[in-house]
Amino acid sequence: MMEAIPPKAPNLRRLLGPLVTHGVNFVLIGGMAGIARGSSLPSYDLDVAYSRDKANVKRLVSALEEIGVRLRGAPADLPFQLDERTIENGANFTFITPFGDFDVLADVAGIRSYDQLAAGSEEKEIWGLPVQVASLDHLIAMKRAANRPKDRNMVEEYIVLADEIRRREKADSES
Amino acid sequence: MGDDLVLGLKPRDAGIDRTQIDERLKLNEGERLDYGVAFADQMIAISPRPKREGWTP
Repeated sequence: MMEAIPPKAPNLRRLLGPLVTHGVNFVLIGGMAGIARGSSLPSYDLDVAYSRDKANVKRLVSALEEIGVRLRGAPADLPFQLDERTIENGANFTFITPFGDFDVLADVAGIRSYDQLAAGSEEKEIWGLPVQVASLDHLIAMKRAANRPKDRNMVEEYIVLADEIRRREKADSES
Repeated sequence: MGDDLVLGLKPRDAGIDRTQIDERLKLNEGERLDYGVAFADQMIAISPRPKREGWTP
């Protein structure tokens, strides 16, 4: 049976906006981060990694409350209490929201720590929002760790993309 | 045997369309994401895969 897909791509402004306004310490990862870096491969959800420190978890909960999340794939009658304790007792959450599929991750395969991920990321202004975007090297490491067929395709494209960006940077520095 | 063993480097050919990359790199991050979301919506619309439960925009 074919895997189901969401009925629509996410509304990124409505998902990233609350994270920024609530001051959540997060890094954009996954296919959308790849697209922000220049990938042409499609992505159907928004993935972010978040810092696990207590103050940040509190800010994350506020942002998730504003967005209006519920667990994706869970029975509608399964109780889900969105609070700091729930986030601290879990790590990675896959949500459905009024604005599309939204995954928030504390443990990211292929990356040693959030601090390592954040250190390699760059702040980009996206629609006026300051967003930390994961580096292509880290995106490649994450996709290699996930290692599904679509991830392997992305690795190939990200390698070519990273080569092209380095080639352009070198040409710029020499001119 | 009359043949030379040649070692060298040549660009990796992973079948990636570099013209697509060139086009994306002309855009800023927000424009790339707008394009990516619009492209994903098109892919969803034409996909034979089942669509999951809806969410109200």
